[in-house]
Amino acid sequence: MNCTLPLAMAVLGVLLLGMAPRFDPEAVLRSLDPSDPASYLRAAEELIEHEAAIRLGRETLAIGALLSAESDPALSAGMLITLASVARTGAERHALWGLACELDPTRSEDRRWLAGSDQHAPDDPARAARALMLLRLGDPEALALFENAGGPRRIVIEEGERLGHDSVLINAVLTRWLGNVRDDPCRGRLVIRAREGGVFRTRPCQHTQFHHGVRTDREWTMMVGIELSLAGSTPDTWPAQARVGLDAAVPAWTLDRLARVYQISPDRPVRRAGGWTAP
Amino acid sequence: MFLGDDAAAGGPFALLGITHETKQPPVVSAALHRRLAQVDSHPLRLTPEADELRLALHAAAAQVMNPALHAELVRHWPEGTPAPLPAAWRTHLSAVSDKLVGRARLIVGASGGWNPKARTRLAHLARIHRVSAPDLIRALRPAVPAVQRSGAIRRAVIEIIPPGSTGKLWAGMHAVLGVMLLALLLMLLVELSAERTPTVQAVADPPTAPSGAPPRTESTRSVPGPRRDLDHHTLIEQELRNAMALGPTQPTDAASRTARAIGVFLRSWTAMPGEARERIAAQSARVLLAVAPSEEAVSIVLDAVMARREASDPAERAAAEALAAWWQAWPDLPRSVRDQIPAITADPVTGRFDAVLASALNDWVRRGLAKDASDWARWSEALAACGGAHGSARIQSRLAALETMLSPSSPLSGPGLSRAMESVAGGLSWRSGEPSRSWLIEQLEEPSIPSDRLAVLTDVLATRLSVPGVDPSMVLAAGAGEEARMSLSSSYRAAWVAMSGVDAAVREEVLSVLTAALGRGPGGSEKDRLSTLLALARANAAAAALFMDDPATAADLLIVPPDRSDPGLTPQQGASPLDEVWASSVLAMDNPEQIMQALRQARGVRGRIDPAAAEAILLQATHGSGRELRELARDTVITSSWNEQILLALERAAIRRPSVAVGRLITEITGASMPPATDPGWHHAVRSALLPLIVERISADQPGDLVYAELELAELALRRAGGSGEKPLLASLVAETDAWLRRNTLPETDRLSPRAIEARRAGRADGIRASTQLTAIQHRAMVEAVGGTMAAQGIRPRSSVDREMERLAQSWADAERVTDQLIASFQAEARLWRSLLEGSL
Repeated sequence: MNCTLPLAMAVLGVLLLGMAPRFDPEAVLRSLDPSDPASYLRAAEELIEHEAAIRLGRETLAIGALLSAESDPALSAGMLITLASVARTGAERHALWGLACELDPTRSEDRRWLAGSDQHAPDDPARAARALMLLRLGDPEALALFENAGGPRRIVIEEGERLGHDSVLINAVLTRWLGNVRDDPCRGRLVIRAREGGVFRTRPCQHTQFHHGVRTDREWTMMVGIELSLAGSTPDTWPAQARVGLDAAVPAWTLDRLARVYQISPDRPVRRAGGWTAP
Repeated sequence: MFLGDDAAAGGPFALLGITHETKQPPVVSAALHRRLAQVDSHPLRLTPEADELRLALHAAAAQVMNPALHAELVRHWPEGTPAPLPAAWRTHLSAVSDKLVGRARLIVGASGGWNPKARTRLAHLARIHRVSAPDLIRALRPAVPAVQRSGAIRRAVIEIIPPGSTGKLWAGMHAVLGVMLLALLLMLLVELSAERTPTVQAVADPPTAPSGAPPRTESTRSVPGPRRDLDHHTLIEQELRNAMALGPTQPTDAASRTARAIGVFLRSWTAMPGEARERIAAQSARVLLAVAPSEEAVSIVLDAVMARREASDPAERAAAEALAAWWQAWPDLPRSVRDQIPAITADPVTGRFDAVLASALNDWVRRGLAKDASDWARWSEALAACGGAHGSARIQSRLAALETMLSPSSPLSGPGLSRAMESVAGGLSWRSGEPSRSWLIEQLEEPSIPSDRLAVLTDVLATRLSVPGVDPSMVLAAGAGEEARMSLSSSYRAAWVAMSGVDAAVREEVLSVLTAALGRGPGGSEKDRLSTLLALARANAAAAALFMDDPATAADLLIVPPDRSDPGLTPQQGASPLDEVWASSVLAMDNPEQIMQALRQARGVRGRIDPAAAEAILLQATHGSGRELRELARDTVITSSWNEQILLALERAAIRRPSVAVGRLITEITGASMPPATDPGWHHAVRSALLPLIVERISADQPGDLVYAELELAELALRRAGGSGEKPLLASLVAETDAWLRRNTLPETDRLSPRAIEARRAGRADGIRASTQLTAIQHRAMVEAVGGTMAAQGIRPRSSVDREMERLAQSWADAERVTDQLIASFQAEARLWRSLLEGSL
């Protein structure tokens, strides 16, 4: 008897959910008008609210930006900034902001407070840099920092991508380094104090395979480059910057690059039969 | 018929309605105006008879006012009947009763006789009883002849003003007041109800007044009617002034006349001086402002201009567009009017009207509206007439026009193309300093330009126009290949280079160095790429010095120093005694003397140091037993700090075992001051001090080319800026960019204006910290500033600068390393300098 009312409400809820109109992205895209680039912004704003349609939303914004770049650079820049807010990676976001500033230089004034609004807290990069340093030095404290939810892994990967590194490689290195820290019986110390024959002696740790922090190889330089970039303390000389990968090209997208990245074209601005076609 | 029977008695006095005594000009004039008003109020006022009567009235007044004629007229003609005074002006003569006279006499007596005091009191008494003061005084006097008195009574007040008579002063004052009031009324009537005649437009008279309208006075403010011909700019200006005077009251008429004047202006503006065009444009905007309250009038004027936007004549069309743009930017025009004017020219309206005209003509080219050679001839003539526009803008328009004709999509061909090119190219001087020279060389070297069209252009230059330095052998064959085009390009370059001035040798050398640097490929290896970068930087620095009129520095910069690059500080990678075994033995030692002995041996070692050995040394430096041992270990750390493992061990110690001793060690090695070990910023300080240094140590095994390139670029940038000593590359570039931005005078709305360049630079630099990347960003901003300055000063065609910037943007987008971006921007700068030198030679 007591269960009847909640059960009824649950059934009603399910029914109502079933009756709710399903979101149809293709219907939204039917309103696009290539002679009115603002229609692309309106449609995209609706699309990016739905996780399932976010890819279409990005494509719509990119096409709209291409269509309005000549006639209305300010609108085009606005669409690029919207696109940056749903960018797939930090590097992409950075490049989109750069392109928006190219089209409408006045946007550079907004950039500092708008660009970071959907990203990290101001001190997140510094925390990530510290976590990365502890990880590089094999400190067990790094385990706790990286394994916590919302840890610095994403920030490290995004910064690495921005510097031109492969996110998969960065992720793999982080995973391996964390494994080293976890597995190292010397707990990151190169010299340990251990009992030998009833006497405590100081000796080098024999498990050097876990000591990734002393091998200044490509992985190490990549991670140091990311760490330095996150901490805002870069080497002064060009050779040193080149060594840690801080000599990557400055992100400078053009409209052609935008079209290539999103695999769209201003010549195919109309959505028909599940694809972008010519009008 | 008009003035009544009395006026027809004959003679001027009857006509004017005045007595024989009346001869004072103001009185006669007042009488004349009264009569004219009577005529104007008559239903037949517009007839020729009315005009004749007006003329007779004016003649009569002139005769009466003439003292020499007056006596003669009195003898021959009867006096007229004055018009009755207004009731309010009439004195109450009958009120001068005996009682009042008696009272007046008492006042005179009480005042001590006939004196000013008595006169004042009598005037007061007369005013109280509403009688004329002179009549009251006259009543006090002894009896006068009846005839004389009745005449005085019969005449108007204004006629009884004997000079010097105090009593008649009041009558005079009344008369003056009356005249003034009459004049005021006349003026008011003129304003409200002026007449309109076939040849003279009254300002305030509506075109169709009802027959029963109230009497009106003749207009005094009139606007001449429209002229038949407006064949001179002064007539157009006058017509617009007349229209503006009509605007507030008769907006439709004003608009029609304005539309007609503007139509003539649009057709014939090329024959007018620039100042006249400026005045007419401004005057037309003011007319538009005057008629703005009337939508109909505004649309008449706007339609007249908008209709001409589709004219086939490029001059007329451009003038219509320029005028519309001019109005649109006219700040006083109401927004409602400006909103009715569609945006026509892409460029903002700045400066003089001729500049707007030139911009509209340029727009005509951009839109590809030319149909045949005659269009181009007319366009060229119109552009030449825009004397008030900036010379560089006109040159760039012509170059853009020639580019349009060179395009494969141009509809012109054969003799038509030749004639069109002749008319457009003929407007260029093709002399030193004009960008046309570098432009032509650029076209010859641009593979996408068809050879057959270039053949026509070179033929026109060599055979029809007297282009300096070009002879008939310098004509491109119609089907010429790339080799022939490059050969001809060299001929043009040689011909124009040979004509250079005093610094010809230096300029030629700079040009050849620029060409050579641009001819180098980007290079496969890092060493080759850095060599290319340095060659470009050297050539650019020399060209910039030449631009700043400093050929000595330019020549000096061209001297290439010997290769200072070295193979780098490659540390010895061989085996060293500081291995893990050494570390184990030191760690196992209990005797401080033994440890110190081992450390002394370690101090002179060069080569690889094992991480464990580095850790052992650090351990002794921080936790060694005895002060002497710790001091020796610290000395060892400092002397071995060339090795990255020692620094890494120091970093580990600083993080794991923070202490004052470790802080001191870091300070001694890096020079960075360290906070207390308990400070929250300790970790950050350790990393900031040590990690860059560790990276520097690791990169010491890199080839020295990058080190050399950085130093060389910094030195070139410094010398280019005229400095000496040491200054970071980035600082020199910032100073140089600022100098170019100051020379750049493009408006803020332009993509290459200082504001836009600076904003883009800030946008690119956001989030960037590495000095290599910041250098590339700053150099690109400098290239944009150089290009913007060249475009602003008209020393390089704008289209060419824009193309260069697009090319640079594309190269940057495709680059993977910052070195590639640096090379791209140095190449862009070199191309700008090369074309500039080619043009100026």
